[in-house]
Amino acid sequence: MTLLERFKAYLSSQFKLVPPGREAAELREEMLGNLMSHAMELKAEGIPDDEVYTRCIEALGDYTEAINALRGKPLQVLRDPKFQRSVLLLVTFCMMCVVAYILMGLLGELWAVGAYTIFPGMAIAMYVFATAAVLKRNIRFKRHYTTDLILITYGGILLTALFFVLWLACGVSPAVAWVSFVYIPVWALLSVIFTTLFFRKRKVWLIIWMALVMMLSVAVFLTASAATGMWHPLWIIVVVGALACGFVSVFALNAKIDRRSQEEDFEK
Amino acid sequence: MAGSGDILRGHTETIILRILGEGDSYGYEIAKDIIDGGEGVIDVKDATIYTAFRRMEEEGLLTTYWGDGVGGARRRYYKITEKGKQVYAAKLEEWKLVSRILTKLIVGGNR
Repeated sequence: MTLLERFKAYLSSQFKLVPPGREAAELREEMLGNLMSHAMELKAEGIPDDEVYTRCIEALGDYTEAINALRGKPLQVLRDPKFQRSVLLLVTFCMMCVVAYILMGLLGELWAVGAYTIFPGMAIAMYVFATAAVLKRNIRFKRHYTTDLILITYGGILLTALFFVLWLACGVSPAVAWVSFVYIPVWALLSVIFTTLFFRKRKVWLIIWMALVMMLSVAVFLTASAATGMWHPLWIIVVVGALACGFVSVFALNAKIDRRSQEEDFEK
Repeated sequence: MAGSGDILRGHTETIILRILGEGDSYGYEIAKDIIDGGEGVIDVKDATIYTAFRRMEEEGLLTTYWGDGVGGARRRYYKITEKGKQVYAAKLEEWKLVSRILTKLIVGGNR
């Protein structure tokens, strides 16, 4: 583990209870900058990494007051102009949808059509806007705990929509169109690979293992089903592949958490 | 001998303003300047400097910007403002007066 990674792990433990925000991200980055500046000087003097780490953390001093000041401040969030602007935007949008629904009903006698189009449309628009806002925040603050979930959910929604499009609009038999669901785990896998490689830049071995198992299970399923025509029972191959990936990733991540806890105990 | 905290008490901001008056700097470098100039008597932590920075930024004595990184982490630089320079000049005059009076009172020899 490099000094940079050790400092980041230390700061993560210090900021564990601090909600994400610009102020917290800036304080954290400033502390990391100071730690690395100090560490580079000590390293240039030929001091071993473990001693560099200890001395840098000691020189940092007590940031408890500054960090505590960043913990949950609901009243301040309510007073934040950005929060108020978001609420106002949301309420305005909902009111516009209600007005459009009433107008469609009164002017065109389209109460049912309005109910089935405007309100689902409103919900979809709000969902897209909310997830886009979260993704934007994730990229800005380099926090990607929710990025995978958002991308996987979108994959699930789009591939489910594809199933209905193929079945109802294109006339493809549902016995064949349902294969689109098989691509949900493939999409999930690609999403995880994307965020891991581009944002986290770690756990690559785990991702490659998962990629291999998932791709292999899908390939085996498609090949076996195409060859035998037994699409229905053979989909279990993909489920088994996904479960295998899930088990291995849970064990690997647990082992990582244990290692980190041991390191933190050792540092204390 | 008075502790490091006692010596610095009430003067940390003036010292930071003096250092920033000589050029933009960042938390660790300022702490190091103070420790180096303290002849082994003064020790100051980054957190102490940070607390002073926040207070001084709120008072409009300094501004910040992000500079180049080192070892994969960016540094946050601090720059003294015009108001900061004026406050430093006033504090310096005040210090010279207090220093002269205390020297006279403690060292004596003026009768």
